[in-house]
Amino acid sequence: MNKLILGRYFPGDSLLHCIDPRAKLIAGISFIFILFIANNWLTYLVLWLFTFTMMKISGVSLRIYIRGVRPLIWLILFTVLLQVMFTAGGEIYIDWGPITISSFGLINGVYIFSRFAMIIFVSTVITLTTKPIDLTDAINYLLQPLKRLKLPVDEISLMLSVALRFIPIILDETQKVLDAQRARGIVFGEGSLLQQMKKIVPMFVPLFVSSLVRAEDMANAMEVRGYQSNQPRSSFRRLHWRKGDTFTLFAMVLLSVILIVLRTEGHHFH
Amino acid sequence: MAMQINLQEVTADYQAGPIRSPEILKSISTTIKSGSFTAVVGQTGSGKSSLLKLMNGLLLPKKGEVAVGEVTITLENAKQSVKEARRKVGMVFQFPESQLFAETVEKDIMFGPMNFGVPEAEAKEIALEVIGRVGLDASILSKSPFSLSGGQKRYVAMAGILAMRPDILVLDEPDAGLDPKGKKEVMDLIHAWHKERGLTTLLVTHDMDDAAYYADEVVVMEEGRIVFQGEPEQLFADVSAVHQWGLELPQARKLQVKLEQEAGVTLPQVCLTLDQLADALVEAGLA
Amino acid sequence: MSTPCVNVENVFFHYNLQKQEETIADLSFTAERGEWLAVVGHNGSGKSTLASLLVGLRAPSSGSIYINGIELTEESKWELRSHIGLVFQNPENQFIGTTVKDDVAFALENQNMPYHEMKQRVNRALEMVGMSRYADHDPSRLSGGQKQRVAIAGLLALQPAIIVLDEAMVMLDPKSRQEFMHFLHDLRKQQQLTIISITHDMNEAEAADRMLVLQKGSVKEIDRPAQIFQREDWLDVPFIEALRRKLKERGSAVPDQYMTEQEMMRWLCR
Repeated sequence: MNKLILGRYFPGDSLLHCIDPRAKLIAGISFIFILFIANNWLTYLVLWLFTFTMMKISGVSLRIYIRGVRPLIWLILFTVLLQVMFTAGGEIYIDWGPITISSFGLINGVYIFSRFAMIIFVSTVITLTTKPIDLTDAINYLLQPLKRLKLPVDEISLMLSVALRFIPIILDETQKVLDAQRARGIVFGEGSLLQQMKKIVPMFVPLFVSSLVRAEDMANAMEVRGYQSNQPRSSFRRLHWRKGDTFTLFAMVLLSVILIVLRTEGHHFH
Repeated sequence: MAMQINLQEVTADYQAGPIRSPEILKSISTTIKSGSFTAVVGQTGSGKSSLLKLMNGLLLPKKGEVAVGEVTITLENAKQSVKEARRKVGMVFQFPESQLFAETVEKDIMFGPMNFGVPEAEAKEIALEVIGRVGLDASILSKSPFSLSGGQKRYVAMAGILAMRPDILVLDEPDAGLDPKGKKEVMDLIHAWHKERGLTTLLVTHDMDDAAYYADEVVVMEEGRIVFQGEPEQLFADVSAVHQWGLELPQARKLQVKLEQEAGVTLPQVCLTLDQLADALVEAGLA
Repeated sequence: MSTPCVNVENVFFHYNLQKQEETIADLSFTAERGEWLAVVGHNGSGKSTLASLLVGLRAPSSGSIYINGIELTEESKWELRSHIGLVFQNPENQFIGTTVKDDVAFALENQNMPYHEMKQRVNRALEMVGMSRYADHDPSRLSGGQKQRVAIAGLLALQPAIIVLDEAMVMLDPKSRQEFMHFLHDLRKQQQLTIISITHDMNEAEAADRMLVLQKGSVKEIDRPAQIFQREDWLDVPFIEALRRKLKERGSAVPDQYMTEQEMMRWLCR
């Protein structure tokens, strides 16, 4: 649980930290689409260059990014392996009936791996350099049009931000309960599956109870401070769109143009 | 059978995800005497709670070793030694009632002993014994812990630790959040166990009156180091040092210091409790 | 005669959660503008129920509560939220904002206040509690005393007349408790605030203008603390009073009356 990097914020003051979260969010989403423009070595090289530049600018050490990929590595390798084994074409190295390892397959495997890794790296760059609450604000802003469809966008984003505030508290609480039950002699991660399942109870029940208490306290605090749902609320948090943010989006357009120029027309390989 | 605790150049830190905290304990060496009642004081973040967690391997030494009786915990032998240590060290956390989980009070109390291999029948007997020991009626054993009042929950949680029959008791502000009467009851109870069973007791507290009243020895921590270890009289005699470490004086001592400054008198002894102060005032002919 | 700030008239409240009964029975009292009223009593005497009645989290079964002359009802309670605020026991559970300033602004957002006015009010409130430096900090990472200051700022932003403290100092260590109390006394003078503090701490109660002893949900006594400590020998007493009694036991010629610390000092130095 402690090993997941994706979704963690790393305080800092890099260029990326200063960009408006809306710009980052839009850029991040468009990056996923841009990935699909690439179809040859050169284009993938450009994308990798872009990704590494972003990682470098974020000011967070490479080690931390690598650790971020680690929990997902099996999933990635599995997908890559499927690609490699079931893509035919080009020079064939191994041929076991339906399973073939060919030059096309190997190349495709590298591409797929690159896509996965770059998506994870770029989204990690965004979450590492953006406070979760700023991301919530950005989501709230980008979802505003949905209000016309009577979707409670503001309530949803308040809910999100309250949940974000609770995550660190609940993680602390989990640690405390874990410690308390360990001190009473329970060893987590030992014994048969059934025994291990039983051990969840002494951990889960106290957490559940304390979360209920917290939720009630918080509901009371919100009410006392005058919160009513379905009432118009003003917003104290402001997002400031600056020149640099427009430039960020422009950079994404530029990246796509470069890729379109460099990509191979028509069929993948010749 | 009580036991001595011995720390040798222990250094420790926490690791949360990718981030390693700065060293929270810096090369600590100390001996806690067998059968002593030691108060650990210091400002928030000075490493008090971390020091307690060393005793049963909830925090492992990065360097150095922790000897709890005959068990020695090091980073290398942790897997074996920690199990042994936890059998001997009972730990009462802040707000221990938040660890309750079972359907009945009895089952919750039996949880600790049974984890250490005590047979069910015997664990039941122990539960019956300790529930009385914390001053609750045996009829409470069949109730759900969540139906109890806040104070009762805390006693049940403490009974759950007592049921493990520890030789060493470590407590992290066991009286936090209680009213003055409740605080005194909890502390008196702990002190009574300590005496009865000849336990070695370590108490983290912010309340200097507790340190003055119950402890034979006080450990002062500052930024991950032990900066003082000695008798409470010795500690609170040095008023400027106490303030420098960001600590308070016990109420009686505070009044004594104020009086000595304003009246220009000196009382015959360092007064840490109400009784001592009253005696000293009478003796000095002031009251 | 001016209308009292808080006027509780013959309030009854029945509350029965299995056996944990905490009821209010024929409770009447008033608090004047600028007064510090300490409410003491054993567990189960109805102290916390009183707090939730005063801020309209619960409604009395019968009787009335007037805040600044306005009766507290289902309709008026939202308007009265800006007259009377509540600080909870556990500071951790009352924060909604992810930064100190966002949290202080929460109640203002609920009033749908324009941004520039919110900004002024937030800044002023943080100045008043001496927390301006922490405006961008995460409230859950502050010390206990600082958290309660932020909670107070969240109320002050609404410019209330009355602040109710529901055992708000229990979670603080003795040193921060004392600092927080001094701070509140100063604040009350500056802002002409009425403070109703539900407490177990007799040293705190001693510093109040008046003390209300609650027993089984009604007023046993309401008077100056000195008078009450003199009469009610079952109550816990402040340290000086405990010393006076102890000296009496030792056969000292100490006066028979309740003494403040100053009086005790003077007597000892005579």
